[in-house]
Amino acid sequence: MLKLIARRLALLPLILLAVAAITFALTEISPFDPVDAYVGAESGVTPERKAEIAHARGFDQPLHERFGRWVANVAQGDLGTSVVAGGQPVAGEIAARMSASIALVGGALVLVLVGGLVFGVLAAALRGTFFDWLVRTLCYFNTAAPSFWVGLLALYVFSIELGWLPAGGTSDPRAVESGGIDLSHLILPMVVLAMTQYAWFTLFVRNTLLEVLREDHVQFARAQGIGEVAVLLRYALPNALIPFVTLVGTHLSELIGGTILVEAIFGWPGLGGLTLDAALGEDIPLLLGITLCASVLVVLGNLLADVLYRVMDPRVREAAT
Amino acid sequence: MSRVGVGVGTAIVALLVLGALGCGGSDEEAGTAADGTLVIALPSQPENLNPIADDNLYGGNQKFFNGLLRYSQDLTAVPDLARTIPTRSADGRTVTVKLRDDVKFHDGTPLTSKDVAFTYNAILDPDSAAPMATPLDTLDKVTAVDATTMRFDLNRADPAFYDKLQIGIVPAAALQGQDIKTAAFNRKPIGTGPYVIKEFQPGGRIVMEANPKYFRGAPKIKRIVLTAVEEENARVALLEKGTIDAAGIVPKLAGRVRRNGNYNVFEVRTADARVAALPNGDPVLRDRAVRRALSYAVDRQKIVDGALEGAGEPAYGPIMKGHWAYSPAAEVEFDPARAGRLLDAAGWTRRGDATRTKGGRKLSFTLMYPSNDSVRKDIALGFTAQMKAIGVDVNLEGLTFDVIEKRQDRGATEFGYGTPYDPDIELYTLFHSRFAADEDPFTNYTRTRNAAIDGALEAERSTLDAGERKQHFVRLQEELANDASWLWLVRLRHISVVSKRVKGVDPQVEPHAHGFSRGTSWNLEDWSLDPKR
Repeated sequence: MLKLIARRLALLPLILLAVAAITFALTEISPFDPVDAYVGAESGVTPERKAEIAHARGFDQPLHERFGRWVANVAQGDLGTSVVAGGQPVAGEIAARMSASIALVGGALVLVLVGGLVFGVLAAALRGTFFDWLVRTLCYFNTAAPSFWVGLLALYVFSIELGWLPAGGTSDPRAVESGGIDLSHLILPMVVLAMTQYAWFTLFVRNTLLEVLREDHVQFARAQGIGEVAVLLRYALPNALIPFVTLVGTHLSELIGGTILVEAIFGWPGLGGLTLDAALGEDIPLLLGITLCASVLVVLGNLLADVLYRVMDPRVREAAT
Repeated sequence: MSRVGVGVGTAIVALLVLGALGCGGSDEEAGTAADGTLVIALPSQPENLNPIADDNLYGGNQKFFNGLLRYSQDLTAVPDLARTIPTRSADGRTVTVKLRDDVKFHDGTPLTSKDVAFTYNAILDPDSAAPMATPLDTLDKVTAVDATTMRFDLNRADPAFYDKLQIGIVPAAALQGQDIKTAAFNRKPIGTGPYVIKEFQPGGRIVMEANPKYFRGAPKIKRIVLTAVEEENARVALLEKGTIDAAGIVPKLAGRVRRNGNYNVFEVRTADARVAALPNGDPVLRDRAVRRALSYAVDRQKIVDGALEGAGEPAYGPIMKGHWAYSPAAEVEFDPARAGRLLDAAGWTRRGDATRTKGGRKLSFTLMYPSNDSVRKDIALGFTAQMKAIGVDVNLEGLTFDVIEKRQDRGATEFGYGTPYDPDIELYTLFHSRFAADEDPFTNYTRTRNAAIDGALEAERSTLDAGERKQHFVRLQEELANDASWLWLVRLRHISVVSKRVKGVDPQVEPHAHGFSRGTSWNLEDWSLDPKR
């Protein structure tokens, strides 16, 4: 197990290098003009002047030289500066938004896991009943409803009509102290973000569980006279969970992608909105920085899933030793 | 075994969440404490608060700074950091400004002519790649003559120059020798203005506090929070909830806020027009008869009543009604029959209700608009329906400007333009043939090459005499209407919503894009806040 973790972590820099190289190449073939981003879109700066700026800033050097310089700087902890961030360091801008993003994505992930498991198991246990029908209908409905619409609806119902929850931001804007995240402000965006993924997970848990329930070892347990609840939780669920864990790891990136819309509705100052700003502002250093960060998260998420996979599945564990 | 595994996973995620939450646990109690606070929602957070780095002459200041001059409520230029209105030499090429001697920056250092010279020379310095260097192209250099006197040397007499004396003045000591593009100052500005920066939370809020030593007296509202709320429905939701006190909203949501009763809804007059640019390179729109016919076929008032819910007025040209340079001669009457006759005469004939054709080509073009702007979309939809009535087929496409600029010569684009200040600054680059083929697509976007328009533009900037300039602007507006490369549709009223607790709001006529020193918030430092809700 430790060997696996060590091997994966050792691979991380290589993966990051590959991701960075691909992203760098993509920005190169994109219509992004680093000089335009640098001077501002509506500047009306003359072409001669742009060429001078390109030369002075090294924008006109060959791709591999610029990439080499960038990698060398990143190795020293310097991700460059961001136009979108008013010329401030990329690393600082990402760090300033990181905690808001982790709270949002982490909270939504917990909701997806817990909600998906509970409702998936219950629907499987009560298959064919009204409850099962209700869970499935809600899941299909939720898959069809755009998260943007769900977000606005949630905002109207729970903030304005019922007045239970605050309507956006990480904390009361009037508060003297700031920089923190209030749980009451987190709930709505977290739930809406979770709703972009929970339907899929719930149905997945339900269907896998139903398949496992038909397998021989489960039938055998039933034949031994073990109660249905125990059969479900002790014999069927562990097997159903194995693919579930792997898929959670790979779906982490979708959850992260979903933050862009949710952050826009709830004025949440996380990395999703920053990604959008960076793309619209053609801010290449910031885009590269965010891509690196997201890659680290996805790699770590997959690693966590693989570790859990080994913990849960004795076959994999034995094969590995 | 499996339950342990899930337990570990959940615990790790929960720890991450709690770790992020940990620092904010006690905010709730603090929330009610600050009563002298005004919360204003902006559609997006300003990236950069340094006036030197701003890309818009009307953008800067943001209440942290002052210019040498400023506009009063009726848009006359009055002294701000200057002691009096500047004096011009006989040839107009030397402008002398006297500075107040009682002004200090937020850090306590006194303002001198050196700071003014530094601010302007930094914008002119090629190394700072400042976008505002373009509108300042008439300025050669600024010299500090003595501690309170500056001399501006121009390369020609510039009738619009006083508009360019409103850029926020920065302290030389805080920025000298630094790269303006990456200075920490850009988010920790030090100015002379009525408000001092307290906090800049990236993507979140900007907190500013009253400058107790402001040279015109400390502002009455002690604390102002700017929070970025991108979604227009969410902005209204926050108003209804009372989380924010002021915001700009779209016309179609104004009714909801009015019914709420806690807010004053200001319909602020603006120079901000919506206009369809008809590029001369488009296979259909290159025909001037078509362009002129379109202008007669638009029922502008109907678009105002529909898309703008009444919050606007018809627009016929780049200069707004009521402006000193406005000419009513360019106004066109809604006359679809005349539009039809013009098209018939130009060979674009129609059978029944079909789209008009000429030699097998359909009278059809694309109208592009920025997809994130719901008002522009509604205007475009209204326009398209009206065009259909005279047999012109318009295909709408919602895009981003990055894509639009690459399709410059194919199809029309709906733009927003307009300033209520000196028309020279915007119109010269918008219409002069010098810019028809240059690199920047947004100067002379339609690639119009019209000697009469060029002549009027050059004549209006060659004299300082206001009466004479007006004659040239009148001629310009007539020539633009004849050429019809820009189909002016409507001029918006911006909807500013401010809590009824706030007293002293008296909006200025607004330009298309502006910062905090213009429009509704031009006199923010004179507003006061009634403690009762």
